[in-house]
Amino acid sequence: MVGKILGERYQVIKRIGGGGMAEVYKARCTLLNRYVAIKVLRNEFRDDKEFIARFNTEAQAAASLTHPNIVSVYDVGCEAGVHYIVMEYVEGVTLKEYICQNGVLSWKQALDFTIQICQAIDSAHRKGIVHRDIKPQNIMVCENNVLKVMDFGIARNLNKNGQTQDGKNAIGTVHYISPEQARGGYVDEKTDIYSIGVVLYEMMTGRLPFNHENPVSVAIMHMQQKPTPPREIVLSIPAALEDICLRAMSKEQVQRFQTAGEMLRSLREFQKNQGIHTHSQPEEEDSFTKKYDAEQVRKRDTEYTKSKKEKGGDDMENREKVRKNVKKKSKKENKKPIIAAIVTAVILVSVLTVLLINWIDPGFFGGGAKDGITRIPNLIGKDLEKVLEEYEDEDRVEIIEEEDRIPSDKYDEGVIAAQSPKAGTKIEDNKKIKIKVIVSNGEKEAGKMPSFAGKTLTDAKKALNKLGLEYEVVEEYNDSVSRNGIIRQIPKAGTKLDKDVQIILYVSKGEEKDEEISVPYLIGMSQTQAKNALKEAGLKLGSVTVKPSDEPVGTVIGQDPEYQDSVREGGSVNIVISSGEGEEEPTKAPTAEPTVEPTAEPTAEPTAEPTAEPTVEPTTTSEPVAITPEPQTAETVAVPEEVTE
Amino acid sequence: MEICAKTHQGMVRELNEDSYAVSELTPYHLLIVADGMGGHQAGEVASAMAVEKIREYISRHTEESIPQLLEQALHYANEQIYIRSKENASYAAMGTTVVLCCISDKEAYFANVGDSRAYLLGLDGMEQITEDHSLVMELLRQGEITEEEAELHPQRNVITRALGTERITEVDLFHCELTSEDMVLLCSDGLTGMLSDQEIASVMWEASSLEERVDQLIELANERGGYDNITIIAATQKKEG
Repeated sequence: MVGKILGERYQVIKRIGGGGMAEVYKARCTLLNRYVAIKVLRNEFRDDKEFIARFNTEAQAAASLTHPNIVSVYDVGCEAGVHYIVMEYVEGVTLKEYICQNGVLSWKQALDFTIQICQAIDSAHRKGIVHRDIKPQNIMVCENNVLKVMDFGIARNLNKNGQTQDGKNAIGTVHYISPEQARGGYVDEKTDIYSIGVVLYEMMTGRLPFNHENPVSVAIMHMQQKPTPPREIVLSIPAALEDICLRAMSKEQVQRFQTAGEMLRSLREFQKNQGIHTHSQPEEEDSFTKKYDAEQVRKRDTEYTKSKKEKGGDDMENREKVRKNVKKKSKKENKKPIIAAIVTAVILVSVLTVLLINWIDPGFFGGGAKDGITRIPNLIGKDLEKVLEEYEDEDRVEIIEEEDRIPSDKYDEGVIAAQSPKAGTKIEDNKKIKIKVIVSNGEKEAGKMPSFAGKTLTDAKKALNKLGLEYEVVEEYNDSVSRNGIIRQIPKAGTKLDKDVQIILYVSKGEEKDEEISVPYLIGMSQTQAKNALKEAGLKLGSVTVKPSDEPVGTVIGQDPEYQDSVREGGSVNIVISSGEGEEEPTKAPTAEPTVEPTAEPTAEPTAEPTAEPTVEPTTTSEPVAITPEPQTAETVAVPEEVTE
Repeated sequence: MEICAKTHQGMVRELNEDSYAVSELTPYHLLIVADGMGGHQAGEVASAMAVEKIREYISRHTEESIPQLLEQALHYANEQIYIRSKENASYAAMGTTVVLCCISDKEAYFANVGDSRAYLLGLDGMEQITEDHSLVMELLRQGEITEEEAELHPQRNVITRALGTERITEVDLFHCELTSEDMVLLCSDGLTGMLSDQEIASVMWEASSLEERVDQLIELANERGGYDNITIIAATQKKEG
């Protein structure tokens, strides 16, 4: 394909990827002088009408989408039986690669990425296109962290009347599928929402919500298991963002965001909220929700002007709050008592600001100018029973206690140790307030997560066992950290440690080339075939021993190590070949000196010992004789290769 | 031992990607059915390779215990198909199911990967020996979906294990004693996707020759639509009639 010109204008430059049904090439459009990516339907599908129909459907669906966060489709064509789609050429890595390279993303970046994905999917949903296969492998991270979603409609399984007309398929990745996809139920926009939720989860925590070596188990987990809340993995994730993630990942379609647009609004609202928080001063109120609609503010301030001498200090504080709440950037407040006129003027400006904000962003502040904002009260440090009593009569407020109590150094048993949403979080006035609280069980905390980076696995294990903590070890190749050294850890060092936090230690397996390889089955091959099979597997041919047997001359009748044994990459495998018809045959090279293979690591077994062990073939009485290959080549053979073929 | 093996392309597919073989392995008979996957003849190559490589391995390694022999043979075939799929781009991602039976007068050993099945028909009815390695059947087995949901599941074609798609695969092995009344049936999902177990059983119990019964199964599957290739091997010691 490389070097070909398609459609008289696309010059294929190189292959850049491929999936199950298509290969992807980089090409230059000679007409517009720009790079494009061309997805070419695999040859084996070119006669498959249904596949081609699907390929074209995908192209048409995708071509109708124009959005900065979607990989654009420019052109579709067929030339001499080659079906292809011409797409925007995107430089970057897939989100999967990005996550692998960067590990856990900060929640801020995860939020930004998710907003971009939602924008793309929202624009598709508006056109009635459901992606059905959102996963980080289908999302590109480009320059300036711009995300582009691709492969719309590719994974569609067209099925008619419940009868499967597709060919058999091996199971693919099921880490991002929705419960309804696993169940085989009705798939719609909300399926995409679920998958976006999983992607967000993975970005924020560095983990898949459900993982198991058996894909069916993963599918079942999607259907019935609750994911570990992201904040239990990474403590710094804001509760509101966790809520968005978990809502998107609801098992029931009706409980999720109903459209990508709705999810997008929630994300933006949260983003804005966060923005305000970063500008505002630390939250100070301990008292319950205060209503700050313009009417009340005016009343209170009138009161203030009337009786400033009696309760000046108190009201002063209130007014300060009012200003902070309604004005995004508060200038330095004049702390001295001021005359009523100025106060009124300030309030007027404030009211206008509220109006203005409402006009700009009705999604956040609610529809009418009359709606004020309520702040979530602080409950941390208070006794749960008292709090429940206090809010018993408040219809608007519901206090929900998390089932599991947590250890806490600071708070005694029965005292609230954490709450969600945080104190000070703004809630529209007309909305019900649900506050989740986590109560201390009075036990001591495990303390802070120690840092293991640079330590050996053995040391880390000792330390963790001492703390009584469970952990998981993930092995990775790493060029800079030596074997058994810890590369990184989740959660990060310094984060709070709860007893049931899941710790992952990423341990170096050393440099990548040290991979263990399963020895291929060589019996029955010719020597050349065996050599090629070994080469293909990343191994080398070791010594070649000739032995009489009933097999044809030159047939491999024994091997060491055995089939499926593990050998380091580049290691060698000795073989025994037949000299034919059970007769003894003099060997050409009488030396039986074992060669030492130039392997970097000493292997457990000597690689070039003459095999004295009986092979799987019926053994004969003759002694095996090793033929020593030249150190630099393995070409020295007892039987000429022509004979072996 | 009377054995009848047949394959049919079905009514929809342009190719027959199933392969099968019957060979002697005194005192046993070896029966193999494989159902290939992968576009444009790759499936055909995979299923044919499975049959060929399994026979090749078994012919060279008679002295191992039978279950071990069958398991190793399937691993060997898996590896060979896997390597071929990596060597040749047009065979990329090819794979195949396989169900095989090593049968004598007294006993039968079974091995399978994927969703081709083995049944045992005795005096007390028909029993499915193998378990399908398919997403839908595994969900059903674990009680995650109902029979109804399974029948309408769009991913009914998705199998969770195959020969040739991964470097390593997992093999299920079964064994059962046989009486002279018993019958063994191996088949690809072109049969079981079209007919219920009851329907298959009622045809197999008819008083006609083994070949006629196999023909009738194929005919019935095709009448129902014949969406996939149909391959059947039936074996029994029982004299017909």
